[in-house]
Amino acid sequence: MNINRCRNCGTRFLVARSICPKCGKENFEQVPAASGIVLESVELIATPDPYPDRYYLVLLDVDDVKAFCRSQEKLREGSTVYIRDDDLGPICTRA
Amino acid sequence: MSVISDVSFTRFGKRPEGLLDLAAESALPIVRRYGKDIDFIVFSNSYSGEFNDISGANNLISTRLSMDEVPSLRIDNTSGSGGSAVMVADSLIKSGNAGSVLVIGAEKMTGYPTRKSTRIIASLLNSEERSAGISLPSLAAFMTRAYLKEFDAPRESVARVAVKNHHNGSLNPYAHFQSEVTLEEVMASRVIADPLRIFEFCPVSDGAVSLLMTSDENRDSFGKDHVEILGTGYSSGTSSLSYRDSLTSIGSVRRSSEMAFHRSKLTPNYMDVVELHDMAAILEIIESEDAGFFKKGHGWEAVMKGETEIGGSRPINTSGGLNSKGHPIGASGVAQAGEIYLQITGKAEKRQIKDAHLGFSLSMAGFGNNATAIVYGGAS
Ligand SMILES: [Zn+2]
Repeated sequence: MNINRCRNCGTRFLVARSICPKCGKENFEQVPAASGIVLESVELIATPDPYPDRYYLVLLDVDDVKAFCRSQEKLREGSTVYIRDDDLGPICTRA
Repeated sequence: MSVISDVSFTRFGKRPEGLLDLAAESALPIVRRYGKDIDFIVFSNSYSGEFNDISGANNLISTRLSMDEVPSLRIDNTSGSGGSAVMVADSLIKSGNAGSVLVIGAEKMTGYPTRKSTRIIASLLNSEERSAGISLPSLAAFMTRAYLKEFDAPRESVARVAVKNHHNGSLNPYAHFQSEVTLEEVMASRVIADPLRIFEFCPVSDGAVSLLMTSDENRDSFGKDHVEILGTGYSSGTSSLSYRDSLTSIGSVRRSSEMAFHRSKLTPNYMDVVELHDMAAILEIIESEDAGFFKKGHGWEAVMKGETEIGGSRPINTSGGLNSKGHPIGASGVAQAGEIYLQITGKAEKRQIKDAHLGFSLSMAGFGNNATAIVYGGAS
């Protein structure tokens, strides 16, 4: 998982933008995200193709940027997790 | 000003017919009556490519109706397509670009495994978020958890929305679900996205609905029962869910509703009938607050007290809502306008609200990516 960071004002966000929502400049860098803190998690039973049949969706705080991650285990709110990417997307595990 | 002068529904549900068949079924009664006077077709539909392998559907439907030379366009705005279609038709009429518009909303979604349709709908998300395996129902689960926690609301209040809307749907001959459910049945039904259960979500449905919209000056050529569009409002919110400030309030709903009320010079208190976008039951509660019918954090209390039932002080989703009527995506927002039309013209039969003169609908796209609010009034 990468977080986008504005090289001019330092504003960070998950979803790519061509223009910084804060300062209007167009110069960004991608900062890899390795860990985060669990804000909330939801067990999803009816999942979209091609994802597994059942997993937890986790809303994370990654250095004050919110991001979503998948997890095969239930993670406690407030706990720290490691983030990596598998074939489908970001997945997190207990730290 | 524009008015709605006629409406025609198909039954919503699992239908064997194709997209064009359904669209034509809903449009034909109107075309037979007024076909020669229609000079524009607005087709509300979002997923004909993904579900039906069809593009340019608006021209296929105009040919199907033997209105080959009538200009048309397709409004694709995901779940909010229908509200956008009514807003566009209103604009076409007010600008003088069209005199009388046939608005058709239709979607043909069944026939695929749920995992496949869940994937198709999730394609409206940004890839950086979608890749985590998000589905639209899972977002409703996040919203529910946040709402119950933030406002100390009982879990039961969300389920009660589903009980109410299934009751209303059982009174609506066009609804997908035709039977009531009890609170116990809702709470015992299959979990889809914890804590929300299957009865708290809209089903996957096929269906179509058509409206005849025209100008105030022309309305006498189109029968006696007219409902005026008193004001429309529209707004977007960021499509990046991780970028939103709140999980318990939807900015596009707040702004679009405020605009529609401002333009109609009315306030939420005046509305006799209200249709909201309850793809998931929690959305009805949150939208009822964001649209201004209840204070933030108090919508659940109104549900518990029965205020939002038919016969309550603030009836919401008399049609059964998306929850029970079904959510054939392109049809939903048009069907909201259709329900308000039936209520204000006194044709809502078993679910008729007494003395319904003013109405409000909220059509929402992509979990709040944008919304269209419309205020309606009975023509005097
Ligand atoms: Zn910046």
